Amino acid sequence: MNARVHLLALAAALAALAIVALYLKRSEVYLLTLWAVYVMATMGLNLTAGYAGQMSLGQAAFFGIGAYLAAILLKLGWPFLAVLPVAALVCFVVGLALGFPALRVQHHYLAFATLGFNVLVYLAMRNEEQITGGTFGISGIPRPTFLGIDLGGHVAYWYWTLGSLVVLGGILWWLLRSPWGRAFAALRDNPIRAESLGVNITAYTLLAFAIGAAFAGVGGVYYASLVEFIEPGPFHFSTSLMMLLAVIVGGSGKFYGPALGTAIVILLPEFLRGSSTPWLKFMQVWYLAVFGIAVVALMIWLPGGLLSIRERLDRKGGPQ
Amino acid sequence: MAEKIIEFDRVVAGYSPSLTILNETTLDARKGEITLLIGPNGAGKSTVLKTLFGFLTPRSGEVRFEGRRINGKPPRELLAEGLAYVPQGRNLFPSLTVRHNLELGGFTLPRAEVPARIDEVLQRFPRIRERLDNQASTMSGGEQKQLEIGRALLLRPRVLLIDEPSIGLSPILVRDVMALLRSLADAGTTVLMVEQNVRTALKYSNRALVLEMGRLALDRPASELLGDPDLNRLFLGAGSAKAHPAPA
Repeated sequence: MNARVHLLALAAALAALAIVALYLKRSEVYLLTLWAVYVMATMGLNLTAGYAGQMSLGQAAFFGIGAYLAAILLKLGWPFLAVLPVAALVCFVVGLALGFPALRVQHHYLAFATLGFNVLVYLAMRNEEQITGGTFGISGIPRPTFLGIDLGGHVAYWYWTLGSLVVLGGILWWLLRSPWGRAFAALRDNPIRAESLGVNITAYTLLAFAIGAAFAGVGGVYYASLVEFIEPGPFHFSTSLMMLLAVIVGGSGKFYGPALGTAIVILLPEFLRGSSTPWLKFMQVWYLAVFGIAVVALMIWLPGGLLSIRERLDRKGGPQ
Repeated sequence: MAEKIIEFDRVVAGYSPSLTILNETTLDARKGEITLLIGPNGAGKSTVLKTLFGFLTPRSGEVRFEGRRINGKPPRELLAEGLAYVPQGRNLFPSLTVRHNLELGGFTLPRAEVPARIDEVLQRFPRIRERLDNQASTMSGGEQKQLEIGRALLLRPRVLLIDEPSIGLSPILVRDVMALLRSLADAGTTVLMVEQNVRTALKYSNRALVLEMGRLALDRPASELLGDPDLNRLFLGAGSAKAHPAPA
């Protein structure tokens, strides 16, 4: 796809997302916003795991750190736009620290190291009641205003989140097309070869974690303001698994993979559950089983994710 | 005799404290020559290149480049000093395009310099220019090897270390790659090569160093060794190197 067609398709998709919100119910706009918020985190995870090849099962921890920072600082009266860089920076620094195990271990060992980190953060959120409110959480998290415009309404907040997602996507697009992006891909494909070309694999491994974590932290800030009440549950390691699933289902290492995968993982079950179409009514009970079977089938037939379908078709059409 | 540009002086190195591969290895490579490292499996040929390029730190002894000690220097610094390394096997990043693979070759250069350097390399490899926007994995084996070498040349190295460039290539392509290395050496680049395809490689090399058990067993002009009826035994490590010992 050439650049102009790509931009036109993207603009059309964004326009459709903006217009459709005007005709949706409040709960549906909420779900769309939740999708956008999770895409921020899964975009970061796609950088860490998809582009740089560093397996991580700790993304929900950064999402949670961002959310709790937002909850605390917004309630203290900080402006939303001041909270964003703080959350990004804190998650970046913690992400750097989490990157250190990746210098020693890889693949499933690294997955367990990051999972352990997620469990630790989750326990801190549950037990440090003075700061996090423990299992009672933090309520009354305000939504922002921007240039005097109140973004408290569900549609206004959706536009705010969608606009922010576009900005974040633009940053990631730029990053991936810079020499940094090539270095991440080289790190994933073959670290030794990358090092022989002068790529500092220590620095880029740490950066892959840190930048991915910063994206999740920013997502967490939007999440806290969206739900207006947070408790540790959404930041359990099962959310990290869900995020990784979204990246893989959409297409790991593909720019739009997280957006598509998160739509499948977040929106599809809700669509199936809420379906009132007669022949889909059984989904109200069976939606999770159907979703699970669909994911298993997808991983068998399209292990590269939904966005790899064209590559698979090309391979089928080519010489065997 | 050309001046020594690479020197190993009683170097001991290996992959773990209990696994020593280079056992007080002493050898050299000379400016503008192709020096061929041969020997049986496990003799330490690839380990010489890895130690030279900073992937392994010598436990003792000294590695010198243009007279300067480079023990333990990281690859980034050695690239900047004028060494380049093409490891064994497929070295491209298959998910990236040919252009992006080349850009990675100039990763340590200022960004503005990279396009001109790529253009310089493409003048030498016109076939690669035709494939610039293709994914690297779609290239043939010979094209991939050309791209690997071209990418290594992007930094205009004074010394090119290359490990088994003929692996996976047809005989015609092997000759093409060897001729390319010969032309590089004739233009002044020193080449230190490990190669299993000994007879072909000897035809294009100036010197051959035979390693056995991590020590230099033989140092002879390549043309002389090519005519040696004992070549197969030497290469397989049958011990006849004692008949033609390396100079002290």
